[in-house]
Amino acid sequence: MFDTDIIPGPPKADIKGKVLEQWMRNPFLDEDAESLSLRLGIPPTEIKEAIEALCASRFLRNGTSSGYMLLMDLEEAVAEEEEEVVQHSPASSTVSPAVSPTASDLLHGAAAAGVEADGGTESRSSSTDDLLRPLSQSPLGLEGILSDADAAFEQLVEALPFGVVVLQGNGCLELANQKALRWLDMPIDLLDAATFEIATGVNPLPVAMGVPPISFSMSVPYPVEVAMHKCQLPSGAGVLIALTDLSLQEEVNRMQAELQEELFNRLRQEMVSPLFMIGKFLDQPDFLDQPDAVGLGQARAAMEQINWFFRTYLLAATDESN
Amino acid sequence: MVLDAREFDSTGSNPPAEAPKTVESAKEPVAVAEEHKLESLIDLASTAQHMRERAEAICALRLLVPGKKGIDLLCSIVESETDARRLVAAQMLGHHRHWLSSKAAIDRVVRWATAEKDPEVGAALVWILRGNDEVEAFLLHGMIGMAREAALGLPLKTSTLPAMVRTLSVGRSPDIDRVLLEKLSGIGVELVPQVIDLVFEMEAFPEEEDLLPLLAPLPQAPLFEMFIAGVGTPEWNPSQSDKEAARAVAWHRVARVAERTLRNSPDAELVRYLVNRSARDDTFARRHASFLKAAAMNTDALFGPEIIEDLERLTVDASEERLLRMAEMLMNLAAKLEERSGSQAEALLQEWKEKSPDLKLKIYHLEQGL
Repeated sequence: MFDTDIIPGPPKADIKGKVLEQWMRNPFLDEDAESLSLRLGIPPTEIKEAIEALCASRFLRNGTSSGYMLLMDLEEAVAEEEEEVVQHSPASSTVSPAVSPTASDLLHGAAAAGVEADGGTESRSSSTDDLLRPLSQSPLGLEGILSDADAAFEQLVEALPFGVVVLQGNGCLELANQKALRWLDMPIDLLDAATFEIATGVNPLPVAMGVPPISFSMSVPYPVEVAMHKCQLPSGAGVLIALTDLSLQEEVNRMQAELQEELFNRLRQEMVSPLFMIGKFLDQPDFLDQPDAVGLGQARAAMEQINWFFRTYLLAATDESN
Repeated sequence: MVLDAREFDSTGSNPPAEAPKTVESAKEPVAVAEEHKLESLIDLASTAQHMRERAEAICALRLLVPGKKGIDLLCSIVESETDARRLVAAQMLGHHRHWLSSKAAIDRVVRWATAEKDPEVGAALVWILRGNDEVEAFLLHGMIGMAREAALGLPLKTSTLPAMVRTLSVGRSPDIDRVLLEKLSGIGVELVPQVIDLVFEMEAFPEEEDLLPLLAPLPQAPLFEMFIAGVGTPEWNPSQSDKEAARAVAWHRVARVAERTLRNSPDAELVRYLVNRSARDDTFARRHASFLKAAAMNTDALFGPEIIEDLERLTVDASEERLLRMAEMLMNLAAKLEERSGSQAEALLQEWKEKSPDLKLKIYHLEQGL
């Protein structure tokens, strides 16, 4: 409808040209930047900039409630632009320095990190020194040192990552840690060879008499593996019973079983029946001579069903063409 | 400001308040003046030599709200096939659309557009109908300008979806496809199953490569539910009919394309949905762990504080196993977090580490890539 020899100038002259063209085709257009973006396939931000530039160049004007309108007051705009070109010399342009982290900033950061790391090493080494100080520097006397040693041994036994029970050759309890008591679910004053046999079903005393070491596992009251070895005690031959935590393994086994069960359920639902259908279709003696379109379609659907099932478990062949 | 020409007298000024007239006698000269003014402005807008004059006339026409007589005049100009002012008249009718409130008026424009031979006037006539369901009739029109205006003016709702999907399947032109696909990207989640149903019902089922652009703009979370999580999986029926079998095959083909689209270019919403579901649902997390990992790696989106807020909310009463899973997801997304969210994620990981020494060690192992 409208035609002009004067076209919008840079920057982004092509976008401005496309935007202006829309109003030249239909000067009654009431589009905003969003709808023009859909019309032209150009991001709304760029459209907004182009409209503002076109308004500044007096191609368009903002009619507020009624949208943008063609103004085409171009004589003045052309004169102004010429004036701008004269004023705008390259010498007047300045380049602002780019703000970016400098190498020295980065270096300072690394040094600070290094100081922190050094501090950490120092504190660690000082605490190690505390632990390794000689016994002679202990503030206690010999009795104190002995009771210190008992306490340290007790702490050591308690800190073991497995349960320990030591029984004398006569079946009496020599030593047990809390882990073993908890896993056997038995108070310390009741624990001996007889109650151990009641709890586990295995008599430990033959091991003390020279029977080869025995190991077994149990899941109640707590999942543990029990290993019994002969040991020498001040009172004579004894049995060392070690109990290892199997709860993690039990958990893994349970999850594996759940997964397996879920997989078998899905196999039953989504594989068995489609395979049966394909088999039935292939079993037809004359399916090559007299192809049955319905049967073929159903077999294809069954095959797709199986394929989809496998894909859900990421068992798909890689298609190189894709 | 909009100048209402219905209040003008023959001289162009407001009628004097002290001159009482009957309604009929007062309106008659006003209408005549309006018609005269309108006609002269249309003449000027169509024929003026100087472009600025034409632009001024159009500005005046935009501000002038035509009354009934004015609309009748514009309609008569459009209906006169030899009138050179038809384009301006049609465009003005499209700018002032108060007269288009009745079904009869819409049908009248549809009749004009259907019979129109001039591509520019045809595009202006379809532009008049923008936002109405009736534009769908012109989506596949022979004149590309009319089809394009129809695509631009097509409202996105249940009743217009079939025409939209049909046009996309035909591929009228790349520009029209772009407009329709952009519109499709704004579709509501509730309309996604309907679009998929329409794809299944296509007479000639599209090739997988043609399906890709159709599925790409749709909201991804419902697509995931339908095609990856298997909510929409057709139930296996050994005695299914030919039609059911064909639909099942089509479903699996669409599922393949959807899976490829979602895996290769997941958007932020899908990843956020997967993270939330995985954090809440152990079975879901187990089943889709590898998909989530691939999605986190392939997405181009940058995540803001919202995903951290989701994880913070899910921390309440979460078991250590769940916290560890969330830590793993957070670390997979670490490279895709905005700068500020990165520090929030660090703080959240620190908070989780303080829950127990065991968890701290496991998170540490994750951080070290062990």
